[in-house]
Amino acid sequence: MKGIGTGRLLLVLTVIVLVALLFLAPYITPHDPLEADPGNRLQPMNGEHLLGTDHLGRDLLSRILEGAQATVGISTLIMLIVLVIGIPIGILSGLLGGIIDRIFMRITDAFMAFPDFIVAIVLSGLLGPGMMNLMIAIATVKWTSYARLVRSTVISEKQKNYILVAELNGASTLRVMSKHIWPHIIGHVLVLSTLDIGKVILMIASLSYIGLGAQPPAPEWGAMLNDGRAYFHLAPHLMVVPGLAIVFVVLVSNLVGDRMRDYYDVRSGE
Amino acid sequence: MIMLKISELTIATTNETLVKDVTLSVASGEWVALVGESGSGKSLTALTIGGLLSGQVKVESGSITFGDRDLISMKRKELSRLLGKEISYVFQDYNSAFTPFLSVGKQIDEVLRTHTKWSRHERLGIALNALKDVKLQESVYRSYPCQLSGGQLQRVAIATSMMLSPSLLIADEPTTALDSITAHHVLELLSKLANEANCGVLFITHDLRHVKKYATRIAVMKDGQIVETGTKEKIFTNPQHPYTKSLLKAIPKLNDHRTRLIGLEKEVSW
Amino acid sequence: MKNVGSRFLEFVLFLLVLSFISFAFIKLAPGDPVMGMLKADEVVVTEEQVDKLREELGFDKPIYLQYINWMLAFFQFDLGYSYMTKQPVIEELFSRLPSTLTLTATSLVVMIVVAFPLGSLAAIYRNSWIDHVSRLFALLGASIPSFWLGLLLIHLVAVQLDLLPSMGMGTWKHLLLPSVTLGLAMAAVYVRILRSSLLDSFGQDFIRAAKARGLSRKRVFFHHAFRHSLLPVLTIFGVSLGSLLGGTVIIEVLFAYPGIGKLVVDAILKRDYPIIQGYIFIMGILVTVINLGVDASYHLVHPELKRGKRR
Repeated sequence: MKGIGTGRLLLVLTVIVLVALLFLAPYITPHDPLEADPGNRLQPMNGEHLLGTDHLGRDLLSRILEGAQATVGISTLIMLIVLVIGIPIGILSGLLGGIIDRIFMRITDAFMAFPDFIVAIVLSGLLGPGMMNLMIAIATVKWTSYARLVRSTVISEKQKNYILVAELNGASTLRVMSKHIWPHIIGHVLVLSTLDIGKVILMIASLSYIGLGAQPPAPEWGAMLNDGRAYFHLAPHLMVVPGLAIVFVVLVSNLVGDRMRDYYDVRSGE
Repeated sequence: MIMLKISELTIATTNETLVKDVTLSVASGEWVALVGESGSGKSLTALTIGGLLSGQVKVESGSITFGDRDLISMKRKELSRLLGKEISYVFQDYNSAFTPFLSVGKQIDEVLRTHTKWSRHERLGIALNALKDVKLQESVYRSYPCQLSGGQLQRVAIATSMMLSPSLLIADEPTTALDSITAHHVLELLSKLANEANCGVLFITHDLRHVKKYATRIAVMKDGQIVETGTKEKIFTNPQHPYTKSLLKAIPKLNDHRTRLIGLEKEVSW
Repeated sequence: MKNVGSRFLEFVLFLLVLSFISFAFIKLAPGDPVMGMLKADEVVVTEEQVDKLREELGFDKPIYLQYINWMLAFFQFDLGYSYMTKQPVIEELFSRLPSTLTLTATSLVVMIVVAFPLGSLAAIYRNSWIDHVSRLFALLGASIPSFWLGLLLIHLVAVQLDLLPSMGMGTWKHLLLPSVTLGLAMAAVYVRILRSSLLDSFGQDFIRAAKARGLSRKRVFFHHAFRHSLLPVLTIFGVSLGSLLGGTVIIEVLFAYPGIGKLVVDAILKRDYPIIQGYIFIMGILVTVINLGVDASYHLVHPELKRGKRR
């Protein structure tokens, strides 16, 4: 393939810019993302409002930037929660084995029998609509695959000879863990989570679109698409801009995930 | 009468020449043994005849004529009409001779349907007859490949290859994967059927014991080139090339149990 | 592969667990279900009414008795009444289920119509332009949210060109846009799976053997290679049929298509818990049936698995 060097550079730069935008969003929004201005409804793209305004006259660029924190920020947060729950359970399960392992694995089996999306919908049904509840719902669905991945990594590494040798030489379990097994776990988890974050973003946006996630007037990308739906024929940018924002961010995360997978040379899942 | 004539055949990938200037002919009724160690290019030469090379491996120069027709320049469709009817193959790996999820009978019938205009009833008769010729029961017709033993599968393969009385049979190490008693039975059948059909045989092997028994002529191949050709008598009594001499020396004597076991071990570890 | 008996046992066990989850669900749900039922009428509720209904529903009994009663009802497919419509939950669900299943089926058709030819061509003409197109298609498919794709299609086909209706159901025209949206999203996954699976098939020695018997290219492809490559596709298919059912929820809301997904989202927004409970029940059974179906289809593609090995 040609241009792998420039491709990678471009990808890294894009990721840096995206992350910077995410953190700087509150400081660089040109307008208040929640401030309605009825006199300026459905403005097309112009000098004052670079991406135009929505049906309440709110500045679209400001809402997109602020919405990144909801869509991308919350997704990242969910991934962190998932890792914090999934990795320790996976390690415990893999190291201890026995009855604890069996119980954890039965639980993950039960979760995995059902499609992510349906469980997330049902859970947010139980908890009620709202961003916080959606976070809990998605985290509940997602932790199982990480616990399983980490567990299988620990088990397969545990059986390798060098671990036995290290243990025979008197290294404590903790030491063996941190020195030898940890790096393997990190690699696998990193790949899976970059491939997953795109899916989580899509999930948040989709569930927000049908009203189960972010509640108006919060500027979440999926919710923005739902908000503006009645006005698409008058102001197509209300449809195009938030949609492209989602596609772009997910595309970048998928590309990064693919590269990571090649780099760490892991096959998907277990 | 010369059935098959290979002249100065060179086969290469983009960066490596695999077979160089191979010239070889097979007359009808003749049994030509192509001998040499694995990786010497015997199989590639055999596959080229039927246009079965895959991927990056291509014919660089030379010609292969069958009767008076050039096989290399022949269209795929036209070549297909010859394969399985005029030119038949038997391969080494009996497990891969037949598609696993189709019954053996179905696959025999498929060949008959492709090459003849016979009715269903006629085809069944021919197929069962062919199975009888290789001493298999009619029940084999309804079996799936995984239900048959290696020897049985290889006999089905021979029955399929010989049922339309081809004028050329290409047997690519047909017994290498079989134990020596089974191999003996399979070769007996093969030679009987070939004799009855007055069919030329190109027999590829690295085992000179079989060559001694069945071959009329021998070609010795090493590193992609034919180093020596001649009648069986000439090669066995008066070998010229040092490589041929070393091959002949390696033939295990019947009373030498140790070398015989080592030889068998080699066969098993293909 | 398991036999039918143990399958059935598993299914009964599964139903027990499912009944427990459903029961726990309504007990855990915030708010008093009795109030929920009465409040739906938007009138002032008296203490008396509450107690009366509570007794009627058996909510004054100890919890294990409630569970047993509830479970008995559960196994008779009695899932209670919707707060909103006061109709039996099971009737509400069953009246919506056919629409959802129809949408699932038509989406599958779209998926197959798009993914199978594209995946096959990408494998046959590896590294050609069509292979690159399939790669791009897969990447975009994994990055475009299905509801946005649906919005674009609605805007373009229904609003701008006015070719098809954008919402509701009734005729095949109503099904077209939702199925295309959902089918395309699914196809993106399968194009690449089918391609790599086919490439694996092409490299198999038995394919070479089939060619060596002079079978036509068409025959080798369809009867031998393609069928062989279906096994991994089927395995993933079982998993993703479930997510297809999840996907219908979004699409049904988007196209205002009165299926079971739209029903449950409305129920969630209005806190109509019995309906959500019924949804869990129906989805649990559907997912199980799908898994059984996928297992059975293995045997269709690979009959030799059933016969067992003689060697």
